[in-house]
Amino acid sequence: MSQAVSEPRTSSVGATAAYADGKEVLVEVTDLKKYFPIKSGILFQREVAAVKAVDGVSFKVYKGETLGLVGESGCGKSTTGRTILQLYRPTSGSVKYRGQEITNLKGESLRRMRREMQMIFQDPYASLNPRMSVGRIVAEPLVVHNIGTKKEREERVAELLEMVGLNPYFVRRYPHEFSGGQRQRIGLARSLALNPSFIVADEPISALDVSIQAQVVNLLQRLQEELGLTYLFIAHDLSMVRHLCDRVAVMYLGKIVEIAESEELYTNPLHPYTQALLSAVPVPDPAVEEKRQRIILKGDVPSPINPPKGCNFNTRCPVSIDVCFETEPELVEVLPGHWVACHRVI
Amino acid sequence: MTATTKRLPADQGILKNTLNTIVRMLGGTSMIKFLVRRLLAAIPVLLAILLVTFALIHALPGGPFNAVGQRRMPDYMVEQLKEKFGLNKPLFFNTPSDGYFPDGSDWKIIGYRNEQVTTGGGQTGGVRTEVRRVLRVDLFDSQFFNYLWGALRLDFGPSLNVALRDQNVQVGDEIARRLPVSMQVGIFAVILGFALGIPLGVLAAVYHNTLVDYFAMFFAVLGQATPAIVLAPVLIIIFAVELQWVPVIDQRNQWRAGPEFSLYYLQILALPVITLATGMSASIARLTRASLLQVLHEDYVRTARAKGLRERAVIYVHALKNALIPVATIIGPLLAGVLTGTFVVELIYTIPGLGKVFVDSVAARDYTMIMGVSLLYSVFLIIGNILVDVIYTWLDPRIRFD
Amino acid sequence: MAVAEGAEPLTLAGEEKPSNPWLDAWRLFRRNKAAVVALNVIIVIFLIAISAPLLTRLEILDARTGEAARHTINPVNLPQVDSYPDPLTCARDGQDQNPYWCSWLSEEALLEVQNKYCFRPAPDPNQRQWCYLLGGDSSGKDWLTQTVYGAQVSLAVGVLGATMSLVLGLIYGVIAGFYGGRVDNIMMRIVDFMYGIPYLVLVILLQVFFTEVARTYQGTERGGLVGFVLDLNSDMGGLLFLFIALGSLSWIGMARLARGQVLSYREKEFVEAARAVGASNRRIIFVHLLPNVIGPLIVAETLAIPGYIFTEAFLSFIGLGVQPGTPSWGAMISEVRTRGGFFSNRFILIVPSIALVITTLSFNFLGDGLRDALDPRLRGT
Repeated sequence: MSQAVSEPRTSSVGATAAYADGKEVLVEVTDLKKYFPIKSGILFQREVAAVKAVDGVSFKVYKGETLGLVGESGCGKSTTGRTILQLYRPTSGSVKYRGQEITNLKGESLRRMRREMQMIFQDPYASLNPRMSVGRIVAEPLVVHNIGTKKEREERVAELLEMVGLNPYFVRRYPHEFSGGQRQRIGLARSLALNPSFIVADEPISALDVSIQAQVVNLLQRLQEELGLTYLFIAHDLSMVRHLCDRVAVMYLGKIVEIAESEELYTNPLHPYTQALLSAVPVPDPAVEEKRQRIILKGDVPSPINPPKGCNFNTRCPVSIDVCFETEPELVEVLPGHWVACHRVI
Repeated sequence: MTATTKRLPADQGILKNTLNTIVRMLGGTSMIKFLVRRLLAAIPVLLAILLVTFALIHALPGGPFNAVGQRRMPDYMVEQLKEKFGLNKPLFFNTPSDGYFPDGSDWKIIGYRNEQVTTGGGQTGGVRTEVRRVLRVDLFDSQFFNYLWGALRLDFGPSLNVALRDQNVQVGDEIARRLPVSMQVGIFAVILGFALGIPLGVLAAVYHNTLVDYFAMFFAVLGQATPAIVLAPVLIIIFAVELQWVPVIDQRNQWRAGPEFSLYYLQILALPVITLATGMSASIARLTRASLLQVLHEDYVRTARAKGLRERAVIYVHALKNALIPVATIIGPLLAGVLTGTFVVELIYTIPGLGKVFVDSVAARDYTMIMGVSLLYSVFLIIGNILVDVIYTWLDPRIRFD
Repeated sequence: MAVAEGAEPLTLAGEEKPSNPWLDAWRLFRRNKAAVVALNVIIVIFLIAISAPLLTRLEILDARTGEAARHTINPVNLPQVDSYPDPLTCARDGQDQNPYWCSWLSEEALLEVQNKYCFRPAPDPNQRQWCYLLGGDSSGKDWLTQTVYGAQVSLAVGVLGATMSLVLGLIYGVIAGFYGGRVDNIMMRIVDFMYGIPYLVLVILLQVFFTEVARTYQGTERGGLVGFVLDLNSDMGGLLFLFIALGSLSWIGMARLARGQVLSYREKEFVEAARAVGASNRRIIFVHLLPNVIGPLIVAETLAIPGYIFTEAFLSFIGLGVQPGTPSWGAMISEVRTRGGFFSNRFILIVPSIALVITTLSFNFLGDGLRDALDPRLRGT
């Protein structure tokens, strides 16, 4: 690490907060909601409804771990990630980073917070400005935060490119000259420039070739070990998550339905939605694969503008009972570290 | 639906069916909603245009009775004329000025109002309440609002032009006489533009990257780059002055007489229509070529070729039909172009259409005529803009009205 | 840290050549021969326009009276002549009935013409002679000189008009597109409203208004901003007001285009990435949005330049363009027509006509070339 640009981290954030089971909580999300208004009108528009993209999500991310956030497309997982980073302002709820509330931060203090939390994007073709050279892209966070001299920045960029496995010789190149995997590495170098401790990875591999996916995942893991990073890893399929994540949260229609440690979730899924998702994952063992029974969910995901009364999942649930149509299930810890929101489990 | 609907009288059922058919033909309820919304939105636009035009023309020095180039009239005659045409009224609001109580000749009195006034108090202590009669004047008895009320009843007032006002010619009638003249040029030019442009574009695309293509495109670009004020004099010199195939000016008043099957009509029509159509056909040709070239690379055209269809069948049956869809979208911009184009062409060829009338009335400060023609052009433009959106949706169902 | 975990082979296309989007665009542009020729033609016209005072003297516009014609507001005062000076004839002070045929056949003659007669007053101030290389108009103004000066008007109207409308439209569209919501809604309603105004009608009304105001205050001393603007306009030969009239509506199309472009880029992930590192709105607009948005706008504006030139020529043709006396190609064509030139001295018409067509043709080709190079939607087709 270059001494000039790495900054002491303790001063910028408040005191270390709660511990659970001896692990430090890095990010704590409580009852987070993000509604997008729908507008309509002839001349002047007014709000007529709202898309409830994230509707009361709570979880903790422990320091140094990888938390997977899984769900179908449109379930609000990307919105959750962006709202945590304050790229979208939450409708309500709280996000605490090292015990400090960040949803009310503005201006300079928000900018300082951004050095701690970064994001990796899904589409490597859209996430790099086509009019900027690789050097400028990677150096942008340093320029924005006015860190180091020009020469120090150049050194840091070279170091970052090397860190993500790219030749520093490419700083003058432009994004269109690189492949998808290489672009994803450039994006990774950019998000590491400020030495963040928390990274939201929004489906960073789903747009890549299968052969390259493994490389990027390995790179992410290596960087986590070397730099002590904490990841919130957003994905839509469960197979890659198992390999990478310590714990996994499953989202459905703006709500978390189940959180557990990775192995626990895969071996003992409790929520019918998780069970259905897992039944779709092929198993490498032919004998097991033979016996695998797919749970096919009926119907479509309901509209997030008008979610069903009671449990969100009741329209498609194979085991729903009357209470599911009346009251909304709470997220309850049924086994140590295993939380489920389902009336049938309790 | 309940049983009552089934028992509707026959004629009501027909009415309903017809309505449904009309709605479906227009493109469904969303299209109707869209049209209604756009037409409603056009009302404030037209009002604002009236206001802007009104303010601008009244800011011009001079007036209809003492414009430049007219014989000077004695002041009392000007005053008389002003009163006759209502130009002595205030421009926007008829508000009594401070300390000045209007009498009947200057203000339209619409009645009296009783108002309680309390006076006194203070040191003397004698408070007195009395009822006063207060004159009420019509705030909107102004030039602008009088025009507006008239325009709402489609009465655009008498022309103030020296040649027309004595005969009490109404602006509406005069426009109705002049509009067909402009439309003759416009409509024939659009027809000629498509008739020349599409074959030229197809030719260029079919013989892509050959001499034919290069020549066609060179002439298309040249046509786009040649303004009417260059083309028109050249055409006049060649065909009217040198060859004497056509008259320089319409001497038989044929423009106003309207279309007829005669050599003379063709003669006076030819040059203005060619002038206007040149630019149009150039744009159409370039668009057709680009669109056809794109379609010829599509898979279904390749399939048609693979089936062993003749090249001619491939191009004219499969490709051209689809290639012409984007060409249809040019109709919108074309309408706006025709509006401006006829304006220019009329002035160059001295055709007694709307554009000529407009420029003449600006010079003569014929307020009512300027307002009327501006309003008409705006209406055309707004309808044209709506039409563009409608055509786009008909052609591309992916676009929705929201 | 070394390159690890068997990264993909790091081969890139075209290793030797430095690549950068603007450089690539320039390479694409250079491949279009017509566009390159057009660019050169425009540069030549531009050079002619700015060096017009060196090539020819404006005073000889009005050779017969010997006065500078530039600020002559009322051409009625000029002596009326029923015949035009023919091309290649010369006029002498007070002796304009004495034609002198310039000969271009021998070099000495050419030299003589250049030194003595053409463009510049002869060394002997008592007997000034001018040569009408391309003839003159009815008031004795040299046609070539007018054409050369006319290039100033056409280029100024085309290029400055386009720049003005680009800047206005860009600012308006970027603000509306970037801030969105209520701001966008109101700003776009205003644009929708202006779309309903007929362009030529408004331009003509504004020009009549400006011309009348300028005429009313002509010769009177007037201080303050109004006086300054009027003086400036008079010094520019009426161009200032023409810009205002032409620019009054032309920016709205550009604003729509700019807004659409901004909307399409605003949600791109690289803008979100910039926001995630804490970049300010200003940085996002200037570093991330503008460079991506501006290409199609420049193309559209280049292709709109012929339109401005046409409109100026047309307005000058009907006497509502530049101030009378300011040379303009449209006014020259009008001159020929109103003085019955279509019948008598018709080939003189060719000069301003060809100048107009070459200029607009060049801008059309230039625009096509720029579109191939700058509009990524059409790149590679």
